Amino acid sequence: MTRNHSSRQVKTLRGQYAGFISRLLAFIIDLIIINFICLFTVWMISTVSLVIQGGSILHKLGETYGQINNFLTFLSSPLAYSIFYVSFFVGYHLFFWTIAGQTPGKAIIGVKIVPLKGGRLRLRHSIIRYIGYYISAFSFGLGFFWIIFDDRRMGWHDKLAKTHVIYVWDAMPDENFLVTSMERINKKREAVRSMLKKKPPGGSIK
Amino acid sequence: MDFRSERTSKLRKFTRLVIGALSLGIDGITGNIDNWEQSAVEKTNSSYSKENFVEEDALVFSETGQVEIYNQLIQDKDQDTLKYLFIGLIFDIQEQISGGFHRFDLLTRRAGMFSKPYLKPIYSSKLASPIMKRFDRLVTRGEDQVNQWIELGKKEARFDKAVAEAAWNERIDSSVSFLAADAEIQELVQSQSANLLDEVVEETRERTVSADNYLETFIRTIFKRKQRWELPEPPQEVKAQAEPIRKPTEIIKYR
Repeated sequence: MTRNHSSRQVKTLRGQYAGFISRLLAFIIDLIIINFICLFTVWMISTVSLVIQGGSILHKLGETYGQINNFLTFLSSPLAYSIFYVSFFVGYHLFFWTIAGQTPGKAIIGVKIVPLKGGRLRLRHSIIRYIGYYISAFSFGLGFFWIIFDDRRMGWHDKLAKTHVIYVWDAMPDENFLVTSMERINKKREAVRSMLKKKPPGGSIK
Repeated sequence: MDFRSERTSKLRKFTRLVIGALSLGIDGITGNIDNWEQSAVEKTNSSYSKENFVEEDALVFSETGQVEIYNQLIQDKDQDTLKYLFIGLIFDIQEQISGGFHRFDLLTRRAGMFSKPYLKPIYSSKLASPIMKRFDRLVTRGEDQVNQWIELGKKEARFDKAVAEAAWNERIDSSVSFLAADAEIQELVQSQSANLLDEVVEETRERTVSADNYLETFIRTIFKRKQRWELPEPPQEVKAQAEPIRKPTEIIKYR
């Protein structure tokens, strides 16, 4: 199954713009990783706290120093978890984009974010791109779907941050799969056309 | 040491091991059979819901236990009649034999009770008393022997099982530690896992690239836009950033 494309001198898609599905899958993998880490962290904190009776200690401290009580109530609220989750989400993306140009999810799928003018991705690129994520998302996801229509497969966030997402492996589409899929689409289209053209004997479609 | 006693001792140890292993095996199989039967009952009941029943089936369903399941199975395939005939025959023979033993036991008890008043004068007479004494002694000796066997069996069964368990655990432990310590096996496992991971990753990537193109073609067809067979070439400085990434096998290899 493993193919050595370089030895066959076949033109691959390495360095070409990555498509919507690849990027979506990479994002889903990142989401899984982020959720797993967040849940694991919260579980670890609660377990360790339970084991060392941290709650009792802090509660005792709270009785002594009244202000701690408010802080404890905040820590155990869903708001604290949300803040932790969002901070981790932002930090995860900014860190990996700036350090490697790709998150672990993107590395698994084999895509990378590259600035338009080449070179390394800077922190400012990452920040603008991250803000662009929200713009793309809050416009009913249109900014993300733009990848499908754009000639350079750029989403709105890419356009804002002036970045491309490219394949960093010898990407080769499965041609048989594409041909059969196209044939299937064409057949369906022809069937619909012929059905629309064909007039029923009674003059109306029953 | 006496050669004979040493041999007997070895034979005894070996017998212990065999008996223990048999005992363990029988225990294990019996336990498993119970589980298998239980799961078979559940599976059959779940796949054969009350809603699908015809009238005869409903009668069958109202019966309890295994008869119900066997009847359902028999209804499944008529062409297997011969097979079912033999299976039924085997189970019926078992039942007949156990029933026969039970009947034989009842018959001998009744015969004994019936003949006791007639035979009592004979074996309580002085003429038969020496024979009866010898017979009683024989019976007592036999009973003692049987009790002795039972005691020995009880003692040996526990010990033999422990011996077999110890032997089994030791074998497993030594096999596992051999496998864990062997560098070649470790390398084989690592490389196999990494190769598998490589293949999974590569397969996923290939499919996503195909899916990228497929989705675009599909969406462009829906929106009646011109098909895009080739994307514009990215600038050279962008393409230069697409340096090869390492596969899991390469990471393990160069670690």
